Amino acid sequence: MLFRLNQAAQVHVLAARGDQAAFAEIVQEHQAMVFSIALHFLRNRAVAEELAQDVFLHLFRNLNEIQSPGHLTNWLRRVTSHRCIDQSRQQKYRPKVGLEAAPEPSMVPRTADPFLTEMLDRLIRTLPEKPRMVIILRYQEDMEPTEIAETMNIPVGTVKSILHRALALLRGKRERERKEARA
Amino acid sequence: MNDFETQLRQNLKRKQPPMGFTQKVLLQTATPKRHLRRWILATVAAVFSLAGGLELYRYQQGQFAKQQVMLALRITSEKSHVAQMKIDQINQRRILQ
Repeated sequence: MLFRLNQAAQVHVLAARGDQAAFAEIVQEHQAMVFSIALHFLRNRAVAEELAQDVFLHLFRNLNEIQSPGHLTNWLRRVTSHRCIDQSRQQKYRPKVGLEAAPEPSMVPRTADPFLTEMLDRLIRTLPEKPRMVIILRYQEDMEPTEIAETMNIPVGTVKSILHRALALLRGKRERERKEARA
Repeated sequence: MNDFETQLRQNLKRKQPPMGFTQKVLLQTATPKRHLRRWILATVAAVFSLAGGLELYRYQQGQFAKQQVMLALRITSEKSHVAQMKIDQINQRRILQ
């Protein structure tokens, strides 16, 4: 564990000095996290990929600001979540419908219920920006409310309340959709 | 954690970006074309503005010098006219005496 931590710190130092291979290692380590936050939030693969690339470019230009590997992860989550919310607000004025709006059978695990998976995806998409991001950070990144509060720059109490209300809203919508499907 | 939260976690699992993602990022960091182009455009604009400003300054200086010369010529002309008048008056007085 300590060895891995030291190795990550060394990679970070090398990347800050302009080492391309070290920076590539950082990108490879964090690309799934950055891309998935953007994809789950925006539901458009092309836009999510573009946004993730921009986040890493921004990181490349600001590597000197990063103090540790832990700081790097938090920095990436913060920048990605803020950019996603900004992008979503811009898209409201020029809406784009991506292929990701449709269910992706190849990406759904065989054990999961495809109907439930698709329905949950759709329900998450209907949430307003902040609750949607809180849900993604909580359940994709497994972050605690205190960490989410720090990342999104909002009070912890607000995060807890958003989380509680968003879950209640999602549960309610799911129940309604289930009843409608049965009827 | 209840079933609903487990399902949420399952839905929001991390996904890998498309193939070649890292290469695309590295390519952009290696050739920051957009920035280079911006810098070139800014430099050219600055050079042109400076040259234009210098030219304007020179033109204004020339105009000022021209006005000064014209004023000096006008004053000289008036003074010489007055002197000529006085000489003529003296000559007329001499002739009358």
